[in-house]
Amino acid sequence: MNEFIFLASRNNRQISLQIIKSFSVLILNTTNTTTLYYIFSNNFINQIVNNEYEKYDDDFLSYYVNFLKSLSLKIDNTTIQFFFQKQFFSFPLLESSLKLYNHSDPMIKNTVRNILLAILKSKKQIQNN
Amino acid sequence: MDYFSSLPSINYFAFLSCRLRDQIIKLNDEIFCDDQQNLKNIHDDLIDDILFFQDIFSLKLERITYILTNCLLFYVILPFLCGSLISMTKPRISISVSLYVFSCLIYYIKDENFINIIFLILFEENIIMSVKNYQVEKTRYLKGYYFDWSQQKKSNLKSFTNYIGMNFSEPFLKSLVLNNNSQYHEIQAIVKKYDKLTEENFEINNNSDINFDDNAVIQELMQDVLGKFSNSEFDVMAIHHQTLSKATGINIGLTTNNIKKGSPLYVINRMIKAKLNVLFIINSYY
Repeated sequence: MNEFIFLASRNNRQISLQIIKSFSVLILNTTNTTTLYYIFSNNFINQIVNNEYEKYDDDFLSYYVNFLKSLSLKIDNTTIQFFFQKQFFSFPLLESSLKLYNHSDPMIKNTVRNILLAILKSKKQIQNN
Repeated sequence: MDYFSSLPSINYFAFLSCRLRDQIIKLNDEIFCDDQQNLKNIHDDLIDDILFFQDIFSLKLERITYILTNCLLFYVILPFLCGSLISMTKPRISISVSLYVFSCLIYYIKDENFINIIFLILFEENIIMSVKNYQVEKTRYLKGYYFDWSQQKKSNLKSFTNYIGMNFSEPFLKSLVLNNNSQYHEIQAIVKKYDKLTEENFEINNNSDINFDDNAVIQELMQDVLGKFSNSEFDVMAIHHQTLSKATGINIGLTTNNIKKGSPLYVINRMIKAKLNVLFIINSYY
């Protein structure tokens, strides 16, 4: 995982794109919770999410938003803690997606909104519990 | 501290409200053009935005509802929609567009409290007169807000002062000390200073941890960070935090005094209470 993070931080469009595509598929198709917890743990995913991909073109962004969406689909009462970095008081998944709130592509805009709603929904469930 | 009611995430609700405001302005300008398809697209976007507000309201998260209602009142409803209804000069948007947006808000948003507030604003004369406190000029600009993604992408907002101003909170300041890979040399200097302090602490007390729960340590850290601001940069940040506190009804960032008393919901609540008191006195008299 560290190797992936190192590669993602090298600011190479092609490498970053491949990492994002692979992780989207990996996360969406992982059904075993232990495996999923392992992938989400140690801030591996947060570091990949946190890179500044906004500088790339819209093609890249649609893959990136798809990756964020696949992460948001796995959010529930338990997994949400993996996305919030308490020591840095930051929520990379939310912060990165909210940056795209005014994107001209309706698909990206709607995905961003869905991510926010998914996070708020899990917050509500935590409050209720 | 709740993550959603502090910087940077609270900015998003203000941005959403400003976006709705700009959609309304766009709709108003487009009505006088002949391009029906464009008008339809703008109208669809506007309805989409209102439906998204309804989605947020339907979650029934008290604090989020409070922030969003305040932002909508501060940036859209009081200065633009009500402002154009009572304007003695040429309003920014036409009265018909303003009434249409009011009808859309009432039709699509099902939150009872929000609808009650809209009705109060429209039909209670004292409240609509208080709109003068929320003029268009005062609520026009919001730091960091862009209607258009391409403009946001081009913008040169990435500076140390902007980074601090857009994220300022106590937990964020504490986290700066741990930020070893920061791109800003000001933060690197702070990290170095606190690394040195940690080493000294270890040599003297045999305890490497700096206690950030101690108020004096936090104050010193805050001074270290704010010391890197020029006077004008500091003023810009303070005004940004004050405006945002007023818009959201929550004390944010540098705002320590009770600035939220200027928030729309607080003002409306106070007026209703005053009115009820007068009614009670009249009723008891008769």
